[in-house]
Amino acid sequence: MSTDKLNTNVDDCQLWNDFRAGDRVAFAQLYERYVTVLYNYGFHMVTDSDLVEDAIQELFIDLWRLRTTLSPTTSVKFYLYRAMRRRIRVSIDAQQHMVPVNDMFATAALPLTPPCEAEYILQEQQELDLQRLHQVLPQLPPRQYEVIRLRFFDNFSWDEIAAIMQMNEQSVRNLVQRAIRKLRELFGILFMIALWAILS
Amino acid sequence: MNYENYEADEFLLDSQFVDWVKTGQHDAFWQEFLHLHPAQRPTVDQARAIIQATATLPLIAPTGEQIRQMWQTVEQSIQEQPTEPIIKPLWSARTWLYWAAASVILLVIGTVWYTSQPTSVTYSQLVTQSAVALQEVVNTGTTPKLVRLPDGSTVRLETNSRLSYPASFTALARREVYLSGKAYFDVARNAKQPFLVYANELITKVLGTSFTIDAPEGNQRITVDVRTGRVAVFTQYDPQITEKQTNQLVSGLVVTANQHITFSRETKQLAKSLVDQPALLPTVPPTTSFDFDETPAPVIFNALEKAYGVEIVYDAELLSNCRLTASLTNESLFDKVRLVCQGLDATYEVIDTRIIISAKGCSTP
Repeated sequence: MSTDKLNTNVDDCQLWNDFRAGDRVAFAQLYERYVTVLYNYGFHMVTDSDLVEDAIQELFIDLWRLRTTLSPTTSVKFYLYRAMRRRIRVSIDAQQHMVPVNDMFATAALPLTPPCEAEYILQEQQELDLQRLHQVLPQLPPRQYEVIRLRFFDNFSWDEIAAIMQMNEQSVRNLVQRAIRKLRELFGILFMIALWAILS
Repeated sequence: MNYENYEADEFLLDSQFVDWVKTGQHDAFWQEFLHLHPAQRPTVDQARAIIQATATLPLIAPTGEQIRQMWQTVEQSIQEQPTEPIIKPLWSARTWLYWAAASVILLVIGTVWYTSQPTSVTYSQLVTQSAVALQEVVNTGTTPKLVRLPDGSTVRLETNSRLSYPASFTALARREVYLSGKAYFDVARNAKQPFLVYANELITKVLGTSFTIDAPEGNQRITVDVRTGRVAVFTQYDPQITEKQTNQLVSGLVVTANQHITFSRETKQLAKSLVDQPALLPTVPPTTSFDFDETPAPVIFNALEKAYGVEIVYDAELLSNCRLTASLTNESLFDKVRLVCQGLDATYEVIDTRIIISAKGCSTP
């Protein structure tokens, strides 16, 4: 829809081609354009700023070194996210002592309200409160949260997400379904806690 | 579209719906739909709230300083890469003057550099400069010697090697030991008290991990092989040496499992590569099977990356149609990669710490 979005895309391709031809300025611009979102994406996978910084540095060093072997791409952003994810995964596997951010929540297992009851509470609510959703979303299991973020925060399409996460589209869809079920459970608990706080 | 029967997740998967929430596209259609199917409103609201909440999540951004520092590292690294030579005539009518001026400047810089260059750092210098009293273990035998350090860390000291360390680490901010020769370190984890190994000019800093250092006296090369975890390596010439020694973080050139560092004492340069024989990560059970049956090549590469913590670079799209059946359980990593490449009619090369696969891809049958 928006034309400026279209322009960034054209610019991206232009930058990408200039960079592949060895243009340092274009390379620096690509870095500036993507360093923040890549950092954000990486930090959600592993809460270790050193590790995320290493990954970003190595990603860009490799881009430069391998620039002559890179092909033209329709989405630079997609390419960078996919490379970033692979790099972070490898370093997480290489050092087992790091706990991904979402696992910390996942292991602190809370007693769950029966789903049907939670659903009832949700149905009662005409409008979900954004702020409370902001608290609940990060408690989703890591991959469910990642799918939701890639789609609605980073605006990737489902097939791009499938490629970034190296899974087929059906599995991505299954993750979304499970995320919704999980959100209902989590939201139910939060609602109960809030209610309990008011009553006591 | 049976939107009247949709559940929240079905709305989330529907691109038209997402476009409406994000950009207001086809608003009239959706308003009409809600008007005709008021029972669907709670479901629509749920889906819409999830999209809006996700879209407005806070961005975890690096600081300006982080952005600058990362870029600096990238620039430094790519500067070391030789660029294509520019061919120009060496002599022309007026260039000789520049050349003369340049050689004078070079001579001056060279003289200043030579006189200010620190001479090489040796084990005996480091040991005598230590602020705390040290005890020394020397292995003059023919078999490796196991040394147990006061913090519970163990060192397998190879022959013709020596190690100096304090009798106790308790009152010290850092666990500092000195090595001449070769040793395998298995360091007890203690994030509050970093562990530093001084081997001639090279300093290796860890919080808890295992690795081998090879720093023979009088040899031109010092190497570090990492078995598990991650270590940071920097040199005695590092301008930020004090900061890197004292802070609680592992900073410097970071080396992870199955990676290898070489320090050239002549050029004073550090280089990172893969170890000769990458081993399975300690988290991977030794019994893990690498038997593949009609498995897509990207899945195989992915399994290898996970098991060895080594990055394999390949074109996933190109190889998505390539399927292989192979039993690779007993081979080394490089043999595994070689066999897979044979099956794919591909080649591989190791560039720095990564394995790069060049393949033509497979056509769909």
